[in-house]
Amino acid sequence: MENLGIETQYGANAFLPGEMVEGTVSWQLDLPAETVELRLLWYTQGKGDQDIGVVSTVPFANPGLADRRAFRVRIPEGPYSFSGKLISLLWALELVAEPGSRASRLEITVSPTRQEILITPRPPVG
Amino acid sequence: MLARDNPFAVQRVLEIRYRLSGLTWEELLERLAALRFRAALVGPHGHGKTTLLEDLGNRLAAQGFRVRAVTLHEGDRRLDAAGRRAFFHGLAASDVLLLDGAEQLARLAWMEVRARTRAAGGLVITCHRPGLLPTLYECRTTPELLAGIVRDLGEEPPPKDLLARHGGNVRNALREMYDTCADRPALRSLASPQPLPE
Amino acid sequence: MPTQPLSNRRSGSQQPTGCLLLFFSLFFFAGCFVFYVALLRPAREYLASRSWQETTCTVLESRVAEHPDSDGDTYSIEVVYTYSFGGRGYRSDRFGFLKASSSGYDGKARKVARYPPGSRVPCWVDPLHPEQAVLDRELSWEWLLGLLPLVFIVVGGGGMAWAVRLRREAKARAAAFPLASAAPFGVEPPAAAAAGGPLELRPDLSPGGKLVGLIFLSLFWNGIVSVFVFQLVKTWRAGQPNGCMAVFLIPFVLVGVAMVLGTLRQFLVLFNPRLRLTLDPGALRLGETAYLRWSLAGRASRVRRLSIVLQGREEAQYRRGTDTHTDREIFATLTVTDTGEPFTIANGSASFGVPADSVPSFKADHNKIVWSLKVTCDIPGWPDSEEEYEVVVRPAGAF
Repeated sequence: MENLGIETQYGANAFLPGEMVEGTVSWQLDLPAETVELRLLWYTQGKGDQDIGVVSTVPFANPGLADRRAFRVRIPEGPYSFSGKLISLLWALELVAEPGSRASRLEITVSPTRQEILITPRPPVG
Repeated sequence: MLARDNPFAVQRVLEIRYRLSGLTWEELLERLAALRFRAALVGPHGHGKTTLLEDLGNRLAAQGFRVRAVTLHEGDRRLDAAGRRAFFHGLAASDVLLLDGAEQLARLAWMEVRARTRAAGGLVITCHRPGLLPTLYECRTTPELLAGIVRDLGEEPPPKDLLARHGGNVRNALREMYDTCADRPALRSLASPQPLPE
Repeated sequence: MPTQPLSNRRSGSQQPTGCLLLFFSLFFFAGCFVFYVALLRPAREYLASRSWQETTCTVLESRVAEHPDSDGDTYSIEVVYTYSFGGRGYRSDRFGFLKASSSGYDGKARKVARYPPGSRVPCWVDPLHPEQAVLDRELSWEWLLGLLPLVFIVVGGGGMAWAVRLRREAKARAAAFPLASAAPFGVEPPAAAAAGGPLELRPDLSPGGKLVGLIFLSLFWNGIVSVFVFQLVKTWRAGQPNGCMAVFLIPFVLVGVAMVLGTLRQFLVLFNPRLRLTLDPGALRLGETAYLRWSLAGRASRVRRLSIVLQGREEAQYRRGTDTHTDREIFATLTVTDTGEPFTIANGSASFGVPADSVPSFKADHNKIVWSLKVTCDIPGWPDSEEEYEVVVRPAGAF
């Protein structure tokens, strides 16, 4: 059975904008892959169509059927992870093996407080 | 309730695929073959035509057809450059063309599509009324269908009059369910954040 | 167990299909052509005729010609006359510079009555081209009809510009692999504001722009509805009333009336005092204080109350099949000022803090976080001014 995994250093899943993320990826494939790469992306969920922004990619050269590799990727300045009534914006690290579009995803949080920002309606101020 | 937790978020709703009524997928594909792969999926707004077209496309691809799809939006009276490339260039008998929103095309543009796609193996369209091509399937909605979708999304059955209030439009009914859920108190946020150690 | 990768999905809307540019260019060029024929060319001839020479001509025939039409007969003035110029005789049938026929028989009949056959009346001759002459050089209300094509020109020109912009945006979005844009939040403040300086705010849509839009919508809608109403009136006049059609038309007529009233309201708003807003800094930052200065040009004393709020809202667009929906949800409302004090209404300033625990402006293809200043001028006995000014809120800190 195929398996792809992403682990961050110390199991961290919340990061500041601009912070460096380090960790390891591992995979065990039944069929060989031409490319295996780690992608850092944000995406939306909610009442609107999904938007996706792939911020950076880390390719792993000469991927074997089973391997374990280290990675370092810098979180950009934004956007922040947030959730409101209509839109949630989430961040993730995604390990993708092609062909076959086999993937594994690790959700992370990106914000100045390391917490998802909640923008639910609040009473008027002032 | 936060957007990401809402069971009626678009991304979750899109995972619910079309439920045929009165026939199986095999029977539908046989019917399409009998119509020489030139047919229409007919129904009003929000009755599942686009979803059915997508699912049909996946099944045709699994049968070995090369599927090319174009979606027209309100007011698109002609195919744009990308649509024309997809539909008119390098067609072969193994190509099946899926045109979502065919009723938007101007008369001349529709005639052009029909004339220039003859080399393709098939052309399946969606439209609100029959007449452009033989009807393969008429998309209908029922309160039971809506209740089944809502159940699959993990929620309690909707009010009995919900679908009627939206004129049978399942999409709008689900959007109202989104709003209903969104007004509920927010759930707890995801697993506690784990920052890097200092 | 492997899943399907999110990052393989194409983000961004599909390229706009259809031929918006062709559609609007047809409007534009048709409008230009009709405008030239209906007004520009006659106007040019009218101006040239100011230097024509007056002479006396003899009317041979004169009548009001009838042009039957299913939408109602129209009429035109036909006069044939002879004159001499430079020792040569000429014959002409040009009455005025406008050639089109129009409804209204009586006014034309009165004009024709002034030119009975056999009468000798003044006419004006082009000295350079004596075969060109005209009987009536006066302007009339019918010249105003020549302005109607301007609607098509404005709509067509605006639509063409919009279509070109859409196409450029769509091309920029259609990358083979949608890497996130260079602007992390998808929004860049205006250059002046990016440097930290003040910014004079402009409304998203000016009062004049709103009026033009409403005029077009009203003309378009009521133009179509009036055709059916006219048909209905004909059936009533013929003693064969069509009750079903009347009932069917009621909602459309009501919408048309509402549009007209809305247009009139917007016209009145044009006479409201104009607000000038300066925001410092021009791009806001979460958790920081900003200053807003305003002044009212015009009769500021008419404004009883001025209210300015900073508002944050989510916008989510959903497209499926041929339907498009955009939902909006306000998540933050902060009062900047709400005053009835006359001096402060005319000229004032206020400071306000942007919530530190909120989100910066964000823009993607289908989902946005929009911050804006909403201004309301309450004018008793008159339509209020309501304007919205989108502002950029950046994250806290150096970025």
